[in-house]
Amino acid sequence: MVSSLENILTEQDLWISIAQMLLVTGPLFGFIFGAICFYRKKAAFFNQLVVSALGCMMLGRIYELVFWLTAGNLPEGFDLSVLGDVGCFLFLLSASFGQMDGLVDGREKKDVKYRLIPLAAPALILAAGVFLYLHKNDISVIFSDLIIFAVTMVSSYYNLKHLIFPDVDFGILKSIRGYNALTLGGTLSFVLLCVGEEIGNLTLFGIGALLTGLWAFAVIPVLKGGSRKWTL
Amino acid sequence: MDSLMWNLFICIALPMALSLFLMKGRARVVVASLVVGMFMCMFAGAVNGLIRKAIGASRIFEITTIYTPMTEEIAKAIPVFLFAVTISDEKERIVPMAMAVGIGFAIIENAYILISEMGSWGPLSALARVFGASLMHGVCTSVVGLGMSLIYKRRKLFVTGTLALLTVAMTYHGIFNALVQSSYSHIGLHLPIFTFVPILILVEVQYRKQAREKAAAENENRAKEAAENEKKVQVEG
Repeated sequence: MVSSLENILTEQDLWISIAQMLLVTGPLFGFIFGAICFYRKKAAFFNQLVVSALGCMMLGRIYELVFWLTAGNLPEGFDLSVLGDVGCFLFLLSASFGQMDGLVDGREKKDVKYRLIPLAAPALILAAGVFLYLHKNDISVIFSDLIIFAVTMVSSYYNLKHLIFPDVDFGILKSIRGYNALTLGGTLSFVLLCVGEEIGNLTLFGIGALLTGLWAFAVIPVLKGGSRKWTL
Repeated sequence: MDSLMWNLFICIALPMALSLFLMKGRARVVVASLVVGMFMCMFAGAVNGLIRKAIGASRIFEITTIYTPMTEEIAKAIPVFLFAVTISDEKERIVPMAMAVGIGFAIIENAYILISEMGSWGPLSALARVFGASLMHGVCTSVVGLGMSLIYKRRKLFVTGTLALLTVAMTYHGIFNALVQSSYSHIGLHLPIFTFVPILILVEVQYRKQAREKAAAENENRAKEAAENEKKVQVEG
């Protein structure tokens, strides 16, 4: 996926190298920290799914690193690091949709607007996908991005929904609004990274990588702070 | 798929299948899962052969690090999924079954690789290869099985969760395959040991702790019951 990873050792702007380093170290830190905090018997399953998401992204980055070290380059288009990223957003989706959504959304008619407004997030990602398709005009090249975009569209919908949805009993939702805002930002920055990479715009790619790396660093501490209130 | 693989399958799987009639309970499930794993290896081998034909045998590194992890993990997950749907989704039953499917898969794969590359494997490197690959296949499938046991009852999680777990197994498998075929093969062969042995030890410790706590709670209950019975006897007396 992030084929420009191989540029770490070549000449380029320092800040892009730092962004790429963050993209590799962020999920690693997030996964290890999250595993220590949440891979326990009594920890919330929601938190464990978020940690697994970071673990999946970490595996994707390790795969890229290993492939680059062993083959000397990264394959064009689809490779298994894409599955690492897809798995990451599937875990985030499992947490938001599978674990949380049933608790917060009682399917009442009065909440219809809270179900419609969040469509803005997937619409934004869809627009990015259409832009990419028009720019590249080759479905085989952007195939892997389209898989990621499809999953991120659904995942970002639930993040935005839980960000604006009225709170339910015990403040379950209110306490993780920070997590949802951060994850929505992380998802959009990852989409930015994909677009930047495919159109060969290093600045876009660098900003996307920097923000995604920072998201991976920050998400577990923010989630930990929020979910602590569940037990109070 | 060449005849060597079929011959290996017949030589190993058939006697094991025959021995199923002598077994009962958990042993029968485990051995049957080993045989199923071997069969799924044949299936994955056939699919991989088609992929090799389509892409070109010269791109073998790309095939084995991108496509075969996907086909193999899907092939191993199919029997685990069917077991969860038709027989049991309990963690205690599904995890050993999934592990056995993975190990069965590794038996045929290892035998095929070691025999077809007869001269290039010494006893120690063969031992490392067999141990590393068996552990990798076994635990990757167990992870999928463990996940299925956790998410099967939560319908909303099932599709996304199962796919997510498959991506974990595939990516890890891809890392292993890439390392094993490179000059870092020693790291690749030891990777499953360094990754999974600590986890297995932790899980075992946790199981034992739980078993101890359960036994202590049972003893306490028994002691309470005995004390109550004694009181009753005294009152009646």
